Amino acid sequence: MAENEVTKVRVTMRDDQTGQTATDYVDTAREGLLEAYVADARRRWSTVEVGEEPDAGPAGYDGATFVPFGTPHLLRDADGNVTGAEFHELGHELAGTFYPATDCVDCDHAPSHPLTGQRARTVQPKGKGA
Amino acid sequence: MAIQTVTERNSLVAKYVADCTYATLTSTVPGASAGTELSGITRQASNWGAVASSAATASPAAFAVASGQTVAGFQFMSAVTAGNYLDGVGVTSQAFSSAGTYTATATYTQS
Repeated sequence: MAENEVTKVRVTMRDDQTGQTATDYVDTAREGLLEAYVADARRRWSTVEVGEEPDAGPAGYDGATFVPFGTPHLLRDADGNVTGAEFHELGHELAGTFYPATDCVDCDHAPSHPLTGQRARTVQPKGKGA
Repeated sequence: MAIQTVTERNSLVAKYVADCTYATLTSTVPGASAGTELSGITRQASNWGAVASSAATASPAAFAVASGQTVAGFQFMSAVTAGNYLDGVGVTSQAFSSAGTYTATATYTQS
């Protein structure tokens, strides 16, 4: 790929019942990641749309990238009250990998697994493909 | 006892609106206690609509969420920084791969 080529695409998610929306930017250069991310998102969101044009999002090419461990999924009763939660693992070999922003020297921003507390594996920006 | 008049219900909604001036996102689901506020997040003004028919809806501006953060809850606070936790709810959760945005609205209905 060309130097500084943006390989992320915008993913827009919407919950038709609550009107909540989330917009994220997912790297397509990592094989299978976009597919795993979208499959996971569809477990929770009514609609998931993937942009057709490269888009690095508000953090730009040099921003951080994280391959999520997965996402908690709230369980609700018929009245919409939260009764519990399940955790859905992402199901990708890079899940739990953090690529710091280019300018984040000695970066300590790697997130932790929401359940186990395990810290994400940090990989320095070289070849992060943002 | 249920409140019998819309006038009184609207009055209580107005009190809720007056108290809940700022909104924020959390990584845990708030309940009787506050959820864990996302690190570095900017609280948004609640931006309440008009009180009518025993209800009002808050439509805060989109929240900027950093790469690696997970959204699980939405809560009202009394101030733009610090302040008191007043109410909250679980939302459709999402772990963010890159810096992105999350938008939520909340309707309070007095019965």
